[in-house]
Amino acid sequence: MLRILWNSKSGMAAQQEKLDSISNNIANLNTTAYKKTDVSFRDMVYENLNRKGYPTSAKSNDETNQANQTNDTANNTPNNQNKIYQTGSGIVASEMTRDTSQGDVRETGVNTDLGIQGDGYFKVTAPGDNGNVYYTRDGSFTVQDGNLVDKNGYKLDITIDGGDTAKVAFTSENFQVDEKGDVYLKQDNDSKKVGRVNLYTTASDEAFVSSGDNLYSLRDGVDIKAASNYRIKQAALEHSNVDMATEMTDMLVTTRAFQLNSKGISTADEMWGMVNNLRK
Amino acid sequence: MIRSLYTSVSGLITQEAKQDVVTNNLANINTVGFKGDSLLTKRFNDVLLQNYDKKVNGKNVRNELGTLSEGSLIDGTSTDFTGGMIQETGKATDFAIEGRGFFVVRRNDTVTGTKDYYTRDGHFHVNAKGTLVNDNGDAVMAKEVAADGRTGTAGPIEGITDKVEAGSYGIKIGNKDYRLETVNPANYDSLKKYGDNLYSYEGQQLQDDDNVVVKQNSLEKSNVNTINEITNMMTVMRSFESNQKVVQALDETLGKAVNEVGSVR
Repeated sequence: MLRILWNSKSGMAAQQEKLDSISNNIANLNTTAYKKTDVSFRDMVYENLNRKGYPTSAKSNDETNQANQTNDTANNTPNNQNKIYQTGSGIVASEMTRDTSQGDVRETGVNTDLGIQGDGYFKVTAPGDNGNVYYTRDGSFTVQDGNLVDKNGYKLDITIDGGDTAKVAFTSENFQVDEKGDVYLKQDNDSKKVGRVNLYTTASDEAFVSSGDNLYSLRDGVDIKAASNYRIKQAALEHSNVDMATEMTDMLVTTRAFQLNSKGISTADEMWGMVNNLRK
Repeated sequence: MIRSLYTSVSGLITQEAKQDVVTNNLANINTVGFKGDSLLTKRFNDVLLQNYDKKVNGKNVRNELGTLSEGSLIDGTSTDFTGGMIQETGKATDFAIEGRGFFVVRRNDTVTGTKDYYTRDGHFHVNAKGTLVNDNGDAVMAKEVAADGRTGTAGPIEGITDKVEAGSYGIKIGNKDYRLETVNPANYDSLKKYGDNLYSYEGQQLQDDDNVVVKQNSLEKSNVNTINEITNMMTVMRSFESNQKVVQALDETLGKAVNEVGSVR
């Protein structure tokens, strides 16, 4: 009876985790460059039913074979050789994985906004001598003290030609970024290339750990390299990649699975109640 | 009376084991590539009943009454390997098998050593070390396909530095093509569920079978039919209840036999 209860309980707990992930995705439907999370399930270890307390055909055949051994060896066929006596133990939810598919890049008209179409992350550094390095797809930058910073004040990683960072001061209107990430400064009706916005990527799907505020930190031991397969659009931002239709469908399916498992628990409860009431 | 008590109890235990299997199926209604189980029951072998009530020539001789079965027992669990629905996900690392066949994954266990397991769950991703793995971290086995079409030996895909894409043979990473290793055992009865969506095969090492149809950008859903399982659950519960009622009736009869037969009041 316990196993019936535990199977259904594990099912409910796992579906609950998936609901958590779905509701987080829906809450972030409009967050810039949000990447939705996925939860998958796997079944748990299978136990052998051919054990003490359970009547199985394996045991019955053994008894029959033993009884028949003295009189009829020709008919001694143990036909339970290939039979499997297994029962499962329910499911468990795997770790949440990020779905890094592209979100829509939508125009905003703000010159300091950058949207990435393709593969790559911006790199931002926290202020201070050994500021933490984060990666993000959120391109909503502003200008602070001539530098491009994100909403936390972390500086965007731009390589300036000639290595002279003090000389280039950005304002909200005086620069242009082309598709490859090259930065051009407007001076007296003339554009001059002054640097390049660096984009980074990794092959692994497990490379980043979310730090909140649309930022990701790199996991220890994962290599990161310069990205090449991208286009940057200025005055545009990447939208969240959450598709409402998919999330609602998933939520319906998960809720019904949750409900089914709760029916399993109430059935187990009824059955156990019957056993308890065998003799009042 | 006592014998019939045990008959009913065997029914109760068998129905409970059946309910275990049904609720496990229900719990796995959303698991990728899950194959539903069903518990088979059969009756106990018949027992010969006899007494010594026959009189021949003034002597009591053995009188065979007939056969009686002593209940029901569990006749194994069978897995239904019907294909589940294939759903497109659009991710290049998601694979589904249409029809017969299994993917091969290698697991390194400190207890059982390195062993190959088979699975229908094609939800793969690249882990932090750059290996193509499934959700449990087991390496996916694949063969590298050279430019002239020759395939190499099967092994895990490691050291991945480029994104995984769809290729002409299956997977394309950078400029290398890979084909996932797939097997198709002739006899599915020897496949045992191992947990973590894996199957272990008792028998000879299975050979790679190229005829298995692999679809990329898709996942196979669980093949558990909700309506069947819910109906089974209700049926089993009511059978359980019937057996329970029989036990209660037997208890009452026994009570009468023990307490009231022969009492003089």
